[in-house]
Amino acid sequence: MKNHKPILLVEDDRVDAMTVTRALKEINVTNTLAHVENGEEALAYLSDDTKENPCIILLDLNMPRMNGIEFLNIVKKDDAVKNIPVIVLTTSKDEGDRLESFNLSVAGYMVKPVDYLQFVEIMKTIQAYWSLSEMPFD
Amino acid sequence: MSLAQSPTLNITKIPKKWVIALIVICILPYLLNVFGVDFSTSKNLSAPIENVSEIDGMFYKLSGAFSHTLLEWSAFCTALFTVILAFVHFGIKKDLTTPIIGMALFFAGCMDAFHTLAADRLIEAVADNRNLIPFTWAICRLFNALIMIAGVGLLLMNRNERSSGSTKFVIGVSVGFGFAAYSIINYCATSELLPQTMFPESIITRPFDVLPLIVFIIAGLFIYPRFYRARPSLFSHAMLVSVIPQIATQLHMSFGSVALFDNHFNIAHFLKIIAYIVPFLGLLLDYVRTYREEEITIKQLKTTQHALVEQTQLLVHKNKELNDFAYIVSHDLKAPLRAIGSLADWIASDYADKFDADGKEQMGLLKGRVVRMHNLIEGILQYSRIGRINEAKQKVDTAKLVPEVVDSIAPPEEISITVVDKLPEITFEKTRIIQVFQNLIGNAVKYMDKDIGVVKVGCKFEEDYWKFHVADNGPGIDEKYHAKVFQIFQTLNPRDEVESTGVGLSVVKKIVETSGGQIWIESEVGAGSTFYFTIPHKGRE
Repeated sequence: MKNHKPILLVEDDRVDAMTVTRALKEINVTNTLAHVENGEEALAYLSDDTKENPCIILLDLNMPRMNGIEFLNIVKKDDAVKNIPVIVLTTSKDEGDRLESFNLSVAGYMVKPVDYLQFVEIMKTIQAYWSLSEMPFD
Repeated sequence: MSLAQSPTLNITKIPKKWVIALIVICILPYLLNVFGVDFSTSKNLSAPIENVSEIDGMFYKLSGAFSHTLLEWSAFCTALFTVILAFVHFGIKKDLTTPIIGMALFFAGCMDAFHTLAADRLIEAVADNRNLIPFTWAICRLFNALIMIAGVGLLLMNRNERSSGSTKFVIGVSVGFGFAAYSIINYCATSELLPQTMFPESIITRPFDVLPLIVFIIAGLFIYPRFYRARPSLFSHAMLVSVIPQIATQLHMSFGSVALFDNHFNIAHFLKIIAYIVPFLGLLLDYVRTYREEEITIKQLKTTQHALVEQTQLLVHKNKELNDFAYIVSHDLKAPLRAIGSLADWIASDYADKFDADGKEQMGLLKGRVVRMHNLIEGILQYSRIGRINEAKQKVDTAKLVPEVVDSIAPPEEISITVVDKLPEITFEKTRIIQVFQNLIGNAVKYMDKDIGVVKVGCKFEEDYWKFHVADNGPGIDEKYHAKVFQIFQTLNPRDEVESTGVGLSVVKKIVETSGGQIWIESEVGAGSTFYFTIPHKGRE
């Protein structure tokens, strides 16, 4: 990544979270990974002054308590955090979810592949992109 | 709820109390007579009239003629109303009975009208009124009885109720009746010599009225009952009932009346009006019944329609629920499946050194099954998405689209795919028609077992639809599997030989059928298969 801020992973499935952790490690991403399990926890994380704001947010859509879309609806209205790039990582190919996510200005929309190696490829691409692209904050 | 069960709709008889009332009306004048009431209006023409002006005296002398005219004219008017109502009725029910009988009644009424006008000297007549009135009356009565029987006879012979020529039939019969009525009256009015009709001294005072009496009795006993059985309706029953006043009329005339405008003469004329009114009432009753019938039918229709709308809504709802269910379930199955896949991957890589050859093979199989299950779930999702997501229809030029699909399939060199007809432009959901061709052409390529594969895509214009086909020279499909291949998850080859979910053709079938088309196979095992599908010119909305 362009800077060394943490990556915020919003994901309720433990194995999916492990997949991300493992893939990031495999492609040698040095940014720390902060893991929360739903939208509410993610909002709490973002508003917690003791925690550094993330460089990017990896967001699952289907989660208990507060799902990804609900989370986006709140975050994108909050001037303090609305410009943090959010990349949706989801199982859903659903057109509605896709449209709604992009209407809420997500930076990317990735469908989780069933094959782990393909997932690693996706993480590689995200890493490569955000190493080249400037970020809103240094 | 069937119409036949409804009590009000099976009424084809005049209510009993009405019939009793009618009989009372027919007997009442006679009874009143017995008790001394006099209905006659025959005045002694030569008696001097005192204390009145000349005009009044003239009117006074004409009282018999007036009452005769009024009574006759009432009968005629009733006949007129009856025929009007009969045609209205015919317009609604298309039942030949009413206009035919209505016309018969009307012309019988016309006879009465001619007879009255001639008696009043409003149309030229040469015969003496003392002969003209009773003679033409008798002729009218006979005509009345005969024309009704003629009408009934015509209807009994012409059984096809709603024949296309029914209007012509009605007109033809009407003209016939009318001509008969006019010529008879014309003959009577212009004949100087009419036979003597009244014999005051004998028991049968007016023998000419006996013949109609007999005819009415025959009609009432034999012809009308048969007619009622053949065409049961309130109207035909009313005709049967009208025989009562007819006979009463004739009895008064044949055995009572000895002079013009006398007691029995007037009673008979009054009863004749009743005889005309009865069929008129029958028509009215039938009209009311028809209206009620409609009302009940409409009510039932509304109830049925309401139920149908509810059922449809429920069905739509259930269908959506089912589709959503398939979608949600398969969607939710994907996450744990992915986890299994990932975990298997990690175990395989993290503990690679701890697995022997068998262990590695089993891990490989495990991963393979995960992929297969994933494909099956994707298949359900794809299948349930058709009809769930409504894509907008657009004009699609299949001549352009098919080569694009062929390119995306990228067939090997030894398989040639050719378009044999000029493919049309159709209105369809674009991604759906792509899916159709992708699956059909893809299958032809995938299962090709010949060294040189030939796949042909064509289309023929039919009256209601386009008939597309995709033909190959592959292995062919035995006829007993033709239905099975279109079922979801059905494959003909073991999955381990040809990796296939068995979703493709079921998706194609669903797409084609959702848009109102059909799909089928013609095939010869070993020689190849041809898949046909149709797309209606007017696609379903």
